[in-house]
Amino acid sequence: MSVEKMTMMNIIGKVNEVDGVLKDLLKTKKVDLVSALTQIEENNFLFDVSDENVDRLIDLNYITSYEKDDNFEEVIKKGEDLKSSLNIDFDSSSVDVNADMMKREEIENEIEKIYQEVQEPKIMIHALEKEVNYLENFHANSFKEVQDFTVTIGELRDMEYFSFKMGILSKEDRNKLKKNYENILAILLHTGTSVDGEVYFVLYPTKLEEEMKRILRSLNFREIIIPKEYSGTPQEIREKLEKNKERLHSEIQGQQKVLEEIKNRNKDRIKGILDQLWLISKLDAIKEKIAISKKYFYFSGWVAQSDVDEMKSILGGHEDMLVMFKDDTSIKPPTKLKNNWFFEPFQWLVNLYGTPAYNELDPTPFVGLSYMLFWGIMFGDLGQGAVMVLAGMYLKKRMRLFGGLLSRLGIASMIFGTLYGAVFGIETLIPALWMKPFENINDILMVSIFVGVAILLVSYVYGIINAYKRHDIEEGLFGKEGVAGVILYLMLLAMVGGSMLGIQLIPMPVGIAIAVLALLAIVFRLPLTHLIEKKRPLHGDDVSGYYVESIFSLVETFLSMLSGTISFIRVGAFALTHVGLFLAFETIGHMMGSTVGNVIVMIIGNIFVLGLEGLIVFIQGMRLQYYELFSRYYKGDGQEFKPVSLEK
Amino acid sequence: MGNERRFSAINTKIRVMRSRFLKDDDYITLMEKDKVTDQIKYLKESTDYGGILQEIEDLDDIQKVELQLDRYLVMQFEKIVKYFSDDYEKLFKALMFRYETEDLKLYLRALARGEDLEKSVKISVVRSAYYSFSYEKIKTAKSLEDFIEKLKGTKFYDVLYPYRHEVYTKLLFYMEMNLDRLYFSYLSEAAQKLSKADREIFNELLGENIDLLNIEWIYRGLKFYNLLPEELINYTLPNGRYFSYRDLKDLCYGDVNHLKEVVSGTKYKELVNEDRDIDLYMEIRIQRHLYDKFKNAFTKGKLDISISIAYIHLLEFEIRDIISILEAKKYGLSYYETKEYLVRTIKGSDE
Repeated sequence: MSVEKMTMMNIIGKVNEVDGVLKDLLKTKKVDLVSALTQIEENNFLFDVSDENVDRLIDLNYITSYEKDDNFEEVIKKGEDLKSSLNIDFDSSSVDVNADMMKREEIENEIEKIYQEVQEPKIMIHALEKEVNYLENFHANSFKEVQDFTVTIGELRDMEYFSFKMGILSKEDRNKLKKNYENILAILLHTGTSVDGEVYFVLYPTKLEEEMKRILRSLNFREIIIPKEYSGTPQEIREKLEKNKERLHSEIQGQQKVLEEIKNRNKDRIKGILDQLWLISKLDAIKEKIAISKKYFYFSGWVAQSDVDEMKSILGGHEDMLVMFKDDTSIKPPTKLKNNWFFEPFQWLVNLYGTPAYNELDPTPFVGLSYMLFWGIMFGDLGQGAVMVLAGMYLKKRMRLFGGLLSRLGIASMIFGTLYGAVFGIETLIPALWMKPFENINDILMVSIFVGVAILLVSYVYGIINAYKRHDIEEGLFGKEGVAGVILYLMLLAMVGGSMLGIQLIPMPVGIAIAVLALLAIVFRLPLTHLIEKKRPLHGDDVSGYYVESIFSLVETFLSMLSGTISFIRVGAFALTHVGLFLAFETIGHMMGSTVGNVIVMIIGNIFVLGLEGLIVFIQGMRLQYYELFSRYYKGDGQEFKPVSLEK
Repeated sequence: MGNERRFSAINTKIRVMRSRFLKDDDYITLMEKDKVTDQIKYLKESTDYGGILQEIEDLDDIQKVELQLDRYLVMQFEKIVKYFSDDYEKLFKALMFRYETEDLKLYLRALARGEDLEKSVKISVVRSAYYSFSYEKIKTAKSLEDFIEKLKGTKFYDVLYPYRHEVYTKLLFYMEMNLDRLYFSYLSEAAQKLSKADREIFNELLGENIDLLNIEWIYRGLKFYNLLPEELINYTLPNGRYFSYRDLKDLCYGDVNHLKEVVSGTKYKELVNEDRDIDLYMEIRIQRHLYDKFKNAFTKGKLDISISIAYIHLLEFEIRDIISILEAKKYGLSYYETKEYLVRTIKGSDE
């Protein structure tokens, strides 16, 4: 239930062991990586100078950051290529992380062999597909309109005094030609459609070849060249095209079979290599943070102190390793929250605001308890609570933390539902163990304020402890959220609250005297701190500015105490809203007149309240946490502990 | 969106922008200066172009002035485009396409003269940011074929590709026609999506422009390039205002004299006015006609597209005239000779 103590783990090991060591460390998911070079620069790699360590010491002079092997990028690319051309489904979760690491040259050789074998059929398929495309695009429909022609292209080609061209014209250009047809010595015939547009056939006297070319060019005519092998009638050409297409398709299939055969023959080998490649590329990405010299590698990372023994035993399995643990370093450790199963889902709420700093109290348990309490009071209903518990259990598979949160809130609802005697909004089914909110409006509002005051006081305590941990005297002792602030708040409570309730908790003059002292402490907090710390001068540069600001901040202090306290009245108010909403649905149900109608309205009412009011109460609860409470005690400027792993 | 909402803000803004143009007095003062340096200094210190010309140190560098004014034009363009969305925005982008084709033409001419592209043509970088072709890529082209190949993947490739083996003398004519055809068809396409009122205004402005270009092309095609009439008619632009396809066909199948005769019976008669050399003055006469047209449109414009379109063109004409004045001074032209090369007529300049 706290922030885990961290320690910096520095490792020096033999370069050839690096892949194995990294893999073992990643598998634990308990190490947060830090740049090893910065650690070395800050002299955190300290070890005894003894005979056996001399080598390591000398090697420190040749240290550099790890650089990716560009040649190997090529290999990884080939692996990707293989994956796509052999159509292999690669699932990173099926990678056997325990497999031994192969040598890089070995992988390269293996992959090269298969890659070469795949190249030939692959290139063939590519060329064949291109040809099919060409046939389909250009010729497939180019003769559609002239299918019943009996003249062959061959005969046309052989004509002595006439020539022809086929090509594509846009509609606009076709119109231009049409309008000027009387001046053009050519016959124009629409023969079909290709992908790029309408195809036309132009027949003209060979003598006018040059003129015709110029005219066609001015119309953006794009010529289609018909290969020599096609020389029959349009019908024959079409059939030949179909035949050619079929031939090409069967050739493609043949080549695909070759690929399939290669795939089946090498199945296990390919899988093994791809696994290795995946592992290596993962490890390479991580290696950017390690340092390397001629013989050794240098690795740094945060681990929890409780995991130190585990790390030692893992690393002990590797030969010739030097492992050092160091508790305090100049860099701020990441925060690893450790909470038991019950409070863990509330970590999500805390992290949503900010991760606690390493030296800050983990507010999770407090947040958990207070949030459940607010929720229960606002949303007390045995039946709906049960629905939430079930929904939470269902969601747990997909959204672990949110699902957990929902079921815990559901439990709170159920408890308060029993206390209120409410099941699915029906107040008459079971007796109230405590009270019915709607029948005791003043009581429930009072209770919520009392609860709020209690929780505020706890948050003051948290704030003071956090200030103590930060060694922050100014805030902790004299701040408006520190000791002085609490005293002021307590005095105000005793005097104002007491007079409201009609009991004297503290004699008025005494109360006022203590409150004034606390106020003075807040106003003079900077000089007082400097007095204790023996710092001079007592104030900063702008003395009058400091006091102006300080005195005005008192106004804010009073306001925030007042509004913070009253703010909790919403907890009671929402308990009333909850019942009130159901009352409305119940009235509508009665108006329906029939039992069936009544039941339907209650069901709709329940869904409405669970969805809409549930959302509102959820947000109001967060507001109280983040705004009224966190602002008093929590900074949340820490860095989350992010262990490296092979998974992402 | 209705035209009231679309244009009330931008038209007000453009009227303010227009008020920053040079006045007639400015033009007179500019022409009266003795040296180019004095002229540029005057532009820098006494006109609204001072801001954009601020960084010019060398007061002899006309090309730099041109580039900066160009930058100014693009900036104004960007300002205007911001006020529009959807189809109107697209129309303005299409207008921008003309600069692209104009710059390509510059390149082609340089290529025809056998110049080194990297040295001879400077395209404003601000402009080229909007281009579909890569300025960096094409400026290294060594031959026409190479040049066209480097345009692959743009709209220009398809229309220029058939001419890659053409001899340079005729080539320019062919290519310019094709590029203009590309631009106008792109523009008409964009214009068809405007609201009905705007479409009519735009078609009217565009229609006369198309007429003028068609006349010019047919004239040049007949007189200098000996094109086949069939070819010539195919290159003409559709959607002219006063010259239908039939009229143009009549011109294509006739000779130059026939063309002069026909045109002198229309509102474009100034084009074939024999008082001055027709060949030399045709270009500037076209510009003058368009200038008057846009000036008129700007004055009459209500809550419609005419003001913004007219502004862009008027600004172009202004820049063109400023540069003409600077160039004229550089080549030692007299005050009265200079005026011959300006698009505008300047009131009070004859005194």
